Amino acid sequence: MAKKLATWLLLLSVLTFSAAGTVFAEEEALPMRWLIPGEEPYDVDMVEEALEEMMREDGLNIDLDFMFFNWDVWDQKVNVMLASGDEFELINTLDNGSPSTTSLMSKNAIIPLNDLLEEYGQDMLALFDEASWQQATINGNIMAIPAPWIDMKVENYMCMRQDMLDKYGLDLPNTLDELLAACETIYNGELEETGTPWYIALRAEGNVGLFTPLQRGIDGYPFKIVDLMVILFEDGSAESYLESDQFKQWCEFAYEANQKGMIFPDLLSMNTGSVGEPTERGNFLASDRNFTGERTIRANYDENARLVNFYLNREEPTVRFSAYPNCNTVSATSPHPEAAIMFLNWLYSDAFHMQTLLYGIEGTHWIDEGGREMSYTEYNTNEEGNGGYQYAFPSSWINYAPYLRFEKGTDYEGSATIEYSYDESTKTSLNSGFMYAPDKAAAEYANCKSVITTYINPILLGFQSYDEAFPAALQRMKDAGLDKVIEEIIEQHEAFLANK
Amino acid sequence: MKSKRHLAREIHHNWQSYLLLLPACLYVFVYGYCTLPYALIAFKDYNYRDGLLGSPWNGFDNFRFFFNSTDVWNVTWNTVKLNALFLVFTLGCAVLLAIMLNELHCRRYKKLSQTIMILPNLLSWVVISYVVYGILGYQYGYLNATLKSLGGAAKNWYNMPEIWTFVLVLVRVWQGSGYNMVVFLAALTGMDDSISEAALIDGATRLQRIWYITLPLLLPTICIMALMSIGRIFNGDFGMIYALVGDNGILLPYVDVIDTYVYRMLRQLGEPSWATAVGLWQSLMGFIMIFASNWIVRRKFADGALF
Amino acid sequence: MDITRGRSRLSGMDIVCFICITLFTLACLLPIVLVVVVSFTDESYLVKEGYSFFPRELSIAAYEKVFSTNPMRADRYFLGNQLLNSYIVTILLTLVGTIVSVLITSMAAYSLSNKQLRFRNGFAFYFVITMLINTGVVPWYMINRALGLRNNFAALVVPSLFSPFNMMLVRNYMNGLPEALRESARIDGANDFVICFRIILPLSIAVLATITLFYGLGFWNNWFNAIMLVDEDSLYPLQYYLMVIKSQATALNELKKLGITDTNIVLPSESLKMATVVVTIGPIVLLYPFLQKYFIQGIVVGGVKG
Repeated sequence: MAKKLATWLLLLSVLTFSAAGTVFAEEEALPMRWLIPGEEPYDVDMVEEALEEMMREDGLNIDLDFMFFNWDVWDQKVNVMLASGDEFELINTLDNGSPSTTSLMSKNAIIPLNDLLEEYGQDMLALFDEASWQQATINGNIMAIPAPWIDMKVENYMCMRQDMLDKYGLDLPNTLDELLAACETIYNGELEETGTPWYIALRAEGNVGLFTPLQRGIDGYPFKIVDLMVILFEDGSAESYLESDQFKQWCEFAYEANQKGMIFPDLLSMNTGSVGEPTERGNFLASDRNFTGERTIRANYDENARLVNFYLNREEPTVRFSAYPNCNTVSATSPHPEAAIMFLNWLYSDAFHMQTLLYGIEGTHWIDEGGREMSYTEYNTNEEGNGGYQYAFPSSWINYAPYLRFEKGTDYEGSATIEYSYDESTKTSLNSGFMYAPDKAAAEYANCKSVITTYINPILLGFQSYDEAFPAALQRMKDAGLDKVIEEIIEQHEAFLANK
Repeated sequence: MKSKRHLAREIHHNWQSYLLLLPACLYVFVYGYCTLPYALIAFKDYNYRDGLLGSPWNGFDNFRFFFNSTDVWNVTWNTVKLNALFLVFTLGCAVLLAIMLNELHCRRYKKLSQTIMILPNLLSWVVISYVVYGILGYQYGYLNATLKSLGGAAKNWYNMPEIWTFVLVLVRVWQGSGYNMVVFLAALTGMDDSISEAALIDGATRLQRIWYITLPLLLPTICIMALMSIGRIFNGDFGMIYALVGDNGILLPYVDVIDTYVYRMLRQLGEPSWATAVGLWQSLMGFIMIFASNWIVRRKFADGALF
Repeated sequence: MDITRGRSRLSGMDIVCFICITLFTLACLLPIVLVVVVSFTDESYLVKEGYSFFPRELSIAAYEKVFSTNPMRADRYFLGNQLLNSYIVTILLTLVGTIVSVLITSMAAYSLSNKQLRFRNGFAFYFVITMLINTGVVPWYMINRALGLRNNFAALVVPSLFSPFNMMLVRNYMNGLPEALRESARIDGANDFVICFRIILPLSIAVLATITLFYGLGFWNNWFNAIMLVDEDSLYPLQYYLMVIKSQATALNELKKLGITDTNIVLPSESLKMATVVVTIGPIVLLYPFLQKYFIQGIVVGGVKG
């Protein structure tokens, strides 16, 4: 009898405890691992916890893990994680970066997000505009979450030294010819006076940086250049870029500038960060947009320096050719991809959430100064921290431009208006968001890319004359399969336009 | 059955030697042979989801992008040519330095100079590229500054492809000779002096002694070093070329090597199976080269052969 | 060494050797000196004038950055100092790694040079082939993971433990030792262990010192194992720590470009790169002379003559 009672008691207690267990057991937190290029900020654990706490208050039980990989090994580490099937949820990608969204997609490393967004991402769907979602969509599948941390119309802007223009009595140029003439005057003047040559700050890869703003001065603008192989016009037409008049006009401009000594002679060999690069100290004839460097130049190199940011061809309004520069994609190896969408949605749903991620814990790392202003705390800016900060999250990997804040006292009016807010007068191009995904012509594409670097780039930067060097270079491109790639790009473009 | 008995006897007789050999064998088995199956992705249409085992086979398709590309043979020739020049000049210089250092008397000077000569090898190619830029740069480079002060005109060295084979060999010799010299010094230290003494008594000059005695005794070491380099003659030095030449299109047709060429092509595409395919081809060529050279060396001079 | 050491007259040969060695030594030295000088140069001067042997503005800001320590994270590191911690890790892993490597390598080389071993050439082939094929980072990473080499000290050492190249050098040297040595030892009844450790290895000191140098430098300069296999702060070796400092300097410049912060100070970046080089090479220059005596002095090959 006692034995029977004991057994029943035991059974009952077991049942009670397990029932209690299921009632009180904490729901398993969903892991959210994010691969981010760069260095880990010192206080990242602290901020992860703070974010998790804030999310729990909003009903989300997510366990954050930010995994930072150094830039030098970013490619290899990502490749290794993907190849060995390591689990993670979110990875930052650039459209043309490494890995690019399209290459990850073609290798089945990322998943389409249409359903997940429907269920968990309503705030994001409402926040980002049509153009952003179009850019993120490939063949009907939304493959990425945009990170529009800057208004892409900034690509229209370039910069010159206003004090130099004043010194030589020059007006702000509006066409390429005026620009060349103004630069020549300043160049000759400064060379005579100080003996140091000033340069037009084109970049070594040719079609980045200052190249884009200067396209405004080429006939036929607005147009979009895809991979230096196809040019897309606003009427929906497309042709081979290298064989176009626009390319010829650009090369003649670059060659003339180079002949007159206004292009840095060692440009082709320059990797980023070469010592003595003149533009860093403000000695540039023209450079790509620079809204914030004036103070440093005045303090360290030339106290008279004043920068002016403007765009050429001012009769034509500014144009956006893409909706965002970076995005985040969700890995195929994740067992709970919804955690990624829930997390991102929560971040984008409120400016304060995003700011906590970017700047740290309010009160500990930064102080809200009202409006779009903030200031860093003593604790945060002690020199021993990560590059000078205990916590700073690289905002180019995630952000929505209007959420950005500026340090109090920074002269941000100009940049806040232009870079970080959306204005109505800018046109969004018909071709905004089009991206080429190399598929059947991948081998030819690879070959063309290599030929461009070796044979086209020197012409593009004016080191070789179009008339002399281009015919041979074009023949090499054709041998590499240029026509096949152009065909595929145009095909994809037509599908893109049809889907709009 | 005879061979089985021989095998058993062989192991029984020499079990200690085989035991001594075991750790290295295991290590190489794990890191060298267990990693081999991954090379199969060169023959597959590889994607991350299906992985190594699940991805479908696609024969030699992954090799096509490379062999059909426009600069493939130019780039291959550059790789072999540069590597051959590096081999000859670095080893040659190392041997010369070792012999010369050996002939000197002052011990402290020998120690000091040897320490200094090894330093260039400790610099990464990125740092070396800064140094080269400091010499050959247009505006601030030492060469141009010297030319200008002597009344000449500055030249754009980085845009003159003709000199770059020479520059690369020079930089490579500078970086590698001191380090390789140590191997030859060690060989020289271990040499028996009795033959040299006998030759001296017979009236041979120092030069004769070096030419007829020292060099031949160094030959096995030279052969081994050369053979191992020949095995990698189709593998371009990516770190060096990428740091020094970068993406300079004017220089590339003359100094581009297979590794930098493939890197540039696949930078944005990111096709791991394509890169592996090229690597496999390079290994195969290295294989053939080392077999052939080893066979030749073995015919003439058994001591210098690898296997 | 010249066996005619007794003579005090300098021959023409001596002068030629001396000049050549001096020239080459200078050529090696000057760029190093430049690196050191740049590391002590003020950063804004560098941006204005480029590299120079005689800069007009010096500063130790770069070294301050290298030797600085973040008091907020002191508890993660040995003695609270991250640089010290990474130095200790590097020294330990170099010592352990080099000793084990040299041991494994010399044992294997002995066996391959043992003429009684019928398959010795076959094994040589087995080793050489692995030098030719490199399957890349992915399988290497997966093997290490399978072996449990993640986030521990072994992960820093084991993946770099053996190089067939070095083994071939040692084997070659051992092949050059007189066979009579081994024969007479065997007649005296010695087994392979004794011959190896008591006779052959001591006679091979010169080449062993060489591979000690090669392995030692390899371990000292290695950052790849750490960056791929280790997440634990306290296990980061020197090279990895220096790399992080360099990236942080670049990161701050990026923040400035984005307009988020507006400091006017030009932070050490170029000079920092050079300072990290000096900090790495420094210890090697100081310790290398200790190894040198094995190749400068020379060992008398005693034992058997004629």
